[in-house]
Amino acid sequence: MAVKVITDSTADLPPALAEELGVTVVPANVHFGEEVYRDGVEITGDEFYRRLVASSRLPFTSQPTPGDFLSAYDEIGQTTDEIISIHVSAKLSGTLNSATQAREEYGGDCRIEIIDSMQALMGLGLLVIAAAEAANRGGSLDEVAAKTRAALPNVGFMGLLDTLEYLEKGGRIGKAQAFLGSLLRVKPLLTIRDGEVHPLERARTRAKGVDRMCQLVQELMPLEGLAVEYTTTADEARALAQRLQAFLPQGEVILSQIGPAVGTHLGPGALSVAFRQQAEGSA
Amino acid sequence: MARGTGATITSIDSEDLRRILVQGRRALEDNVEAINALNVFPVPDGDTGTNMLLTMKALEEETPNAGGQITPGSVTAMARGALLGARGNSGVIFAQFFQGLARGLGGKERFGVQDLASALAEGSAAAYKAVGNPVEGTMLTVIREMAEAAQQKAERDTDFVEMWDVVCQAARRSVAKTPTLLPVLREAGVVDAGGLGLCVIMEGALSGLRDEELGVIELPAPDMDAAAATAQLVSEAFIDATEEDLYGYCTQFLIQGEGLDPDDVRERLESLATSTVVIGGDAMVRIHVHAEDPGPIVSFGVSLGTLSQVSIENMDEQHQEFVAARREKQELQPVGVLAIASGDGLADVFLGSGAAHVLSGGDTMNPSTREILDAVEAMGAERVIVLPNNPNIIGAAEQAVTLSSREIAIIPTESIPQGISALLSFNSTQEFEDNVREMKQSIGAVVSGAVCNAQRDAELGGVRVAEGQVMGLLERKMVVSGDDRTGVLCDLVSEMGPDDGSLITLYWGADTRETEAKVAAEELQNRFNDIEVEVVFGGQPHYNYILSVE
Repeated sequence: MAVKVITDSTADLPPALAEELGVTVVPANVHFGEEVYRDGVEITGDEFYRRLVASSRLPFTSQPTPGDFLSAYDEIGQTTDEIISIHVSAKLSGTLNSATQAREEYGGDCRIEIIDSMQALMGLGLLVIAAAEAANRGGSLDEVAAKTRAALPNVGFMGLLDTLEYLEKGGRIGKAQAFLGSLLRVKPLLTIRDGEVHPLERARTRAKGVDRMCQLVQELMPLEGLAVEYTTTADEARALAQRLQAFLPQGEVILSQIGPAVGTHLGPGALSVAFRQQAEGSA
Repeated sequence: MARGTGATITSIDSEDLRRILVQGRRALEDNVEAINALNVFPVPDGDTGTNMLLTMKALEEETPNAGGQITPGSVTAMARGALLGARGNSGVIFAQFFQGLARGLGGKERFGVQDLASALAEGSAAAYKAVGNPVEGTMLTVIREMAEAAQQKAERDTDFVEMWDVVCQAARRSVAKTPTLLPVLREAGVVDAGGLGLCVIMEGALSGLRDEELGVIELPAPDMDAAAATAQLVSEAFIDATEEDLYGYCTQFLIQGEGLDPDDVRERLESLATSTVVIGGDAMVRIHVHAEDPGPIVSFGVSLGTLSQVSIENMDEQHQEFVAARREKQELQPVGVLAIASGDGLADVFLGSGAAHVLSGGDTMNPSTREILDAVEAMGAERVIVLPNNPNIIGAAEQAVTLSSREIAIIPTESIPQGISALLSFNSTQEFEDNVREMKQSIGAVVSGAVCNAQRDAELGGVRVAEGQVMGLLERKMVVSGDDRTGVLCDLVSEMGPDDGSLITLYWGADTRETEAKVAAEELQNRFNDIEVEVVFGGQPHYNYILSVE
């Protein structure tokens, strides 16, 4: 039986792609006060960002519960005997902890391997895609897990924010707090390193920030995968994806909207690029 | 079960348990905002209270309805419900605690004080196991101390309600002293949010057990006295605070008294000494100060209460230790940026954007190589990046490179805007060489201009200006002149070639009014389509405006 891949909704895999690859996505929860919604299932990105801007109290998100993962393991366990469960960086979310708790509760016969992607968003998404492709080629769980772990250092992320306000309020600012306190309007460019948010540099204008991202992506060639994501600026993201397509000759740049769980921490106007570099020696 | 006052209750049943849970949850619900507001550990999410409440609700959903027996099976189902519905780390710990409790109750239909004590011990063990790296001063400590209190009480007494009360008291004490165990709480002056949540649940449960209405729960306050007593003799904060003045006597002691006010003590000491650090509460205050004469400090302390742990040390002797401690800190901060600029506003802009130090200097006051060297040495960074921000200062800065024991890189910035542009490319987490390269590259990305009054009649590059007239400089070359400052500014910007979407930053100087700068910004906005203008106080001498187009 083929290995099945499970991830969480912070991967932002476009639903059609997840379905095509046979990946199961366990949604995070979004809370507006006492109301709880399942990320991407009961609340869409656009709807969420409208409410994010409009509501006086910030919504918050919580990792899927151990119960959410247990249901997924029970259900997928009916169809396979090997599961690889790949999740958002443990330094950014307790999701991995929930998955681990669920595996302890799981009473079925399926083998479950859990991997910390040390990434979020499509940085995680690109790893999941790599794992799913290995699984669909018929790899065993050990092979798929080894391939996924080997791909970890080749996957990265950079994001251009409109403001650091949301990241700071949400407690995920990490090392990027070095960028706080400027008297000038700046657009911070961030990355995820060692599983947490790190500062890259600051652009004075958004256009310059976008140019800089393009330049940085070009320096990373050759690439195996690229994705562009946004919270609210779909047209801008589409244009960026078209620009970046030149750097990915044998593939298609994935365009995806950042889901509520991570979007809460990035705020409106966030634009990001995730990449997977070709492994050294494989070119 | 009958609830006659004074009657001893040795065990509880289904109805009691249901009331305990409902009242516990309601107490948590009443205090959820207060608990959310406390969360500083491990990430300041502000959702500990909500996470615990949702976990409690998941547990409650599995509780049989009123009238139904709570069987050993349903207790197991409730514990599993909590575990599967656990949200956040606080929820996970709480759920594991409850799961241990359920295991400890061991399938009994009624349980007494001995059962509760052993269940709490099981709960404590389970909670500690739930987290990979248990941290004291959190909900875990509160759970463990509740269990320990129950153990002691169970050996002596048998009344269930009294026992629960004892456990609640233990929880309150434990919560109050969480800041003694966890520095992050001590610094914030708060108790642990998860521990407080658990304490509130226990208190609510107590009212359920007594079959009383749920009243307002008085939340335990942080025991800052105990925090003062446990603080290190010389704290990190103290070393930080003492970086500037290393003279006189370092004086430290603990004051024990009544009705002490740490804020008051701090205020008084600040007038007597420097580098004042005061922490504590109304019964105990710890002080650290530097004073040329420790006498008045000690006398002041004695006037407030009893002194203990008195330490008065000559700073010259201590100096070496402090230097060593500072050097250690420097290793943590390997690179610092020194910017050279004059004007309070510009200094703030540089400091706010990540410069470690700003040395005053500019057109009419070029700092000497010595001054640059001194500033570099005083920064306490192993490697220093210097932003001269003026072509006439670059030479002196380059001299400093050859004379200093530190590694210095000069980014040849010729203007304030170039300096700011370079600084925004600086990233403290990046390699020194990469920073230098990227900062140098960024210089070209900005066009600099300035507006000032001519000191004499002049004709330069075909532009004529009379003494007292306004001139506009593009990269230090006069390109426009005239009598109206705002007019010259607009013409200058036009020469600087803004594109659609360009950002113009206007730093107004010491001799310019803010209102004039704002009007000028509006003028620019009207004259050029699709540009952004940001007006910032520069406070620089001589130049009415320094500006950048990028």
